Amino acid sequence: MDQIFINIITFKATNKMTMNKSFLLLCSILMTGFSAIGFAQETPTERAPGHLNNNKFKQLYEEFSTPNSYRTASGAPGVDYYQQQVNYKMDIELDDKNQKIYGDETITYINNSPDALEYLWVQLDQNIRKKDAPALEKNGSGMSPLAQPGSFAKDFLESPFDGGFNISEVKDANGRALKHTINMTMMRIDLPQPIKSGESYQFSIKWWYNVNNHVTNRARSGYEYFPEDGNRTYVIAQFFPRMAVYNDVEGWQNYQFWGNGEFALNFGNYEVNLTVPADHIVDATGVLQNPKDVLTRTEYNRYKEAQNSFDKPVIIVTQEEATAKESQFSDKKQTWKFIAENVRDFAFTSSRKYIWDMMAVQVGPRKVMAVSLYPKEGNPMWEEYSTQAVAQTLKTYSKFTFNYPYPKAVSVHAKNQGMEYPMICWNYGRPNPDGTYSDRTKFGMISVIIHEVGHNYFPMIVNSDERQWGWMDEGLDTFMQYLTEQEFGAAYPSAIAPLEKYPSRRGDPSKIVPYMAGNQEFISPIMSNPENVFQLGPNAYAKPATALNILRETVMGHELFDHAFKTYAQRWMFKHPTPEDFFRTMEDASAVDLDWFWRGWFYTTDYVDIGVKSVKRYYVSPKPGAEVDELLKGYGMTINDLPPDMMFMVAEDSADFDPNLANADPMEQSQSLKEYVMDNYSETERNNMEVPKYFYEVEFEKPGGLVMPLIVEYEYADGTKERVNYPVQVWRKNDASVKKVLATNKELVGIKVDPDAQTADIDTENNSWPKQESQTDFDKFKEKIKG
Amino acid sequence: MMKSLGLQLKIALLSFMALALFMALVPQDNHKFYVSTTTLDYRPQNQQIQITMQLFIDDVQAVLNQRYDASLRLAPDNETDRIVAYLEKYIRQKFVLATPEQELEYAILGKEYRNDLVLMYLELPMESLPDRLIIKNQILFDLFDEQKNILHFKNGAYRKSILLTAANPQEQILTTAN
Repeated sequence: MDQIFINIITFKATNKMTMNKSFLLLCSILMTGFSAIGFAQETPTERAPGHLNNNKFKQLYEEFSTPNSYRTASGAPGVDYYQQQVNYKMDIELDDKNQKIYGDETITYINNSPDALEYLWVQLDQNIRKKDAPALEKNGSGMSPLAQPGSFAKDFLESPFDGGFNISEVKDANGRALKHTINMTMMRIDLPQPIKSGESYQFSIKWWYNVNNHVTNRARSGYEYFPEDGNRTYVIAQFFPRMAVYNDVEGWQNYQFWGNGEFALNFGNYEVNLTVPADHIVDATGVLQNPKDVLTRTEYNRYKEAQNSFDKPVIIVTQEEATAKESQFSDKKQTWKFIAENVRDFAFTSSRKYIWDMMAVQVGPRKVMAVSLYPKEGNPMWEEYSTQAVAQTLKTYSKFTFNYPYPKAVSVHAKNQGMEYPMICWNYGRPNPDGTYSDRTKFGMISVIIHEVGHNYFPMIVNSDERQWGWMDEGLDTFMQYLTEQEFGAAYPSAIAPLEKYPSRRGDPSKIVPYMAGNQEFISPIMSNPENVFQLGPNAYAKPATALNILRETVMGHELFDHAFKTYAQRWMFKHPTPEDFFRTMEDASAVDLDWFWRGWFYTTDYVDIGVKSVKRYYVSPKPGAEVDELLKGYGMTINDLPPDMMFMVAEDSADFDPNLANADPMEQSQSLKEYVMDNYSETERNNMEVPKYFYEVEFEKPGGLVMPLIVEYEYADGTKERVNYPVQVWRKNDASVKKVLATNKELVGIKVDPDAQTADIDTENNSWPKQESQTDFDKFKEKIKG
Repeated sequence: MMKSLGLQLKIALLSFMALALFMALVPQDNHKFYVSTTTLDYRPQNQQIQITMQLFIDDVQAVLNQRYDASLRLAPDNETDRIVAYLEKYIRQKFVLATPEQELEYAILGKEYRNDLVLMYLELPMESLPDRLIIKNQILFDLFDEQKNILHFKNGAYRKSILLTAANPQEQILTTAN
């Protein structure tokens, strides 16, 4: 193509060139049908202003930061990559009677960075629940002309919840008080001396806070109160002062916790003693160190038995036993000891209401315990599906990323919420009070368990910064959730019967269309901070998950995608990746240029809309048509300047079209073609030659801003169909439309763009030729009720 | 006209932000999003506006349980007359279409379940399209403070989208580009 540009310029510059050369030029123009001849014809009356490189395929140099020795251009950790390590030793007490938590923690901070640190930042996430927390006022408010009494009372009558950390002391290893300053949810500790590179520093914090009701407050952490028996189930997380991350991209990540953007955390080892009422059952991040001390003999025997039960869960505490404890309210205390290695956080759950089951799962070389805790209110559904869903998640995720490296994965029943922590997560899904439940409740529960257990991979192990990039864990996890749900359906057909496929809520391209077609005022690019987007669900979960699904199914194919995705997961396992590390690795490991895809899907709110604009049939003609004259005029030539052996094509709708051509053999309509073939091919070759009878010029249009591969299905008069995938690169020189020539032996009767709805095309009204009214849900429904 | 459209959008945006007052403590992980989407598709050849309403089944069930009958269970294989009747009653009360002169009467054709969604199909006869249409959609505002109802009006290539909230439950839209 570049050659033609040069030819045109040369032609204009040297008008005295030989005729022969200009014929060659013309031939090449005619044969390629190159549309840029407009350049040569342009009259310089109105000169368009210049512009920057706005090409959709422009590489992302401006958006990406310059690669360096911390992070390479290939998307891998660089030679100087570092990350801090933080170890915690904690004594925690849960006061069930007064709903308070007390903690005494010793933090060992290991400075692996090349920099000396003069202060440390500690995250105080609970402070978002302080009465005067700025987060409570982060949104504007308006007086509503109508209100529910409940919400009115909550707004104007109730006194606000008295939450947030009460920090009793911050002191160094020698017991000396350390100067500290609290700014909302962040606490700066000023050090007597900077911590040099390679040094470690130990200090401790003592604190307590009032535990909130997570159901009425709709929080990630807190308790649910059961008025029938007066008990609470606690799901406790971001409950202790945690070190902020210091790294090469953010310095200190001390962006305040405003509620939406989740967490940025360091890897480290935890030793935690949890003191709770003696009749509580506890589970947490890490391995229980003293099961013999805290379990009854019967429970302990079942606990041991479960370690080798690979086919079905063993129930450690039965529903009958748990229900019997509901009225006990023990005054005694018991301490559960946990040790967790190489985790980025610690969470726990505690209640006397818990039923507890677990089974062993073989994941690669490792035995992993899949565990569930739930009150009787979760049964019978939880007993039947929770631990199975955990097991399936470990299997599928391990296959696509790396073998699950932790010793256990726990699913805890929590009303109305799904939330993830290392090795443990909270999941919703509650049957009706009479124990019945709908398919929807069941699939909702299985899906949320897969999603939250799956978060062990993203962001617990592939430890992205959630405070800054919600999609990096939510999007990747929702994509993996889709793959797991589909495998769960295949592995347990009876669990999804009578359906044939697991009813995944997100992942399928058609499901993202309503969001991407929506009002642009309320859509943000995926590359936005979670605090500042309008609809976090589609923005950080569904759209990136769908984008990855489209990459896998349509742009890259399974083999290239799966290898690149696995490479990313393995490169950044137990490390802190950025979006660029993901984008770069996906290209680096596949040799598929994806800058156009990241730019369109992740950096803009553009949408896909590709259609077929026109179809023109051409015939080989003995005489030149008006189109040829027009073309030659642009070069100041006439038909007489052409050599005698040219071929001519005439469009069906042009004035020069002779209807007699319709049924003629193209070979018979061009003497020069016939002679050329006689002179250049042997008799055998000629006999094997198929002469196409039908020539079509199809123009595709692209009203949408996103470029995508052009997937076309051609349908012929004999009923056969042909699928052609034009590469996305067809759009690189004209973003609005592109023409393609189809030479065939069969008459073309129909064209469909994206026939299997693989691209999330938001408007399918232009996807067919001849134009077809696409059937809306409404049309289909009406047809159905008509019978 | 452009100016007033911009103003309308600003108002919608402001009232939308207003509604998110309690979002500070909302867990965002795979939790539910309180949004319904309704498409109003003007079909001159059928002389009607075809309305497709997408609601989360859980939300619809919760509102029917709280308003009318705690024992109602919405499921594809559990289609009782009472569910149909209560749902119709609720929709007619909360979803109102009108011209500046008069209220418009639509037919409720029925519903379909799809995954966690219920799709409601409504049909509004429309011999000639009025210049302006008033759309009021208060569905689920009685249940959730954060509920947002998005509506897309389509007339050929012309599109108009609005976002309704409890503080701003109705809007008047232009039905054509000029």
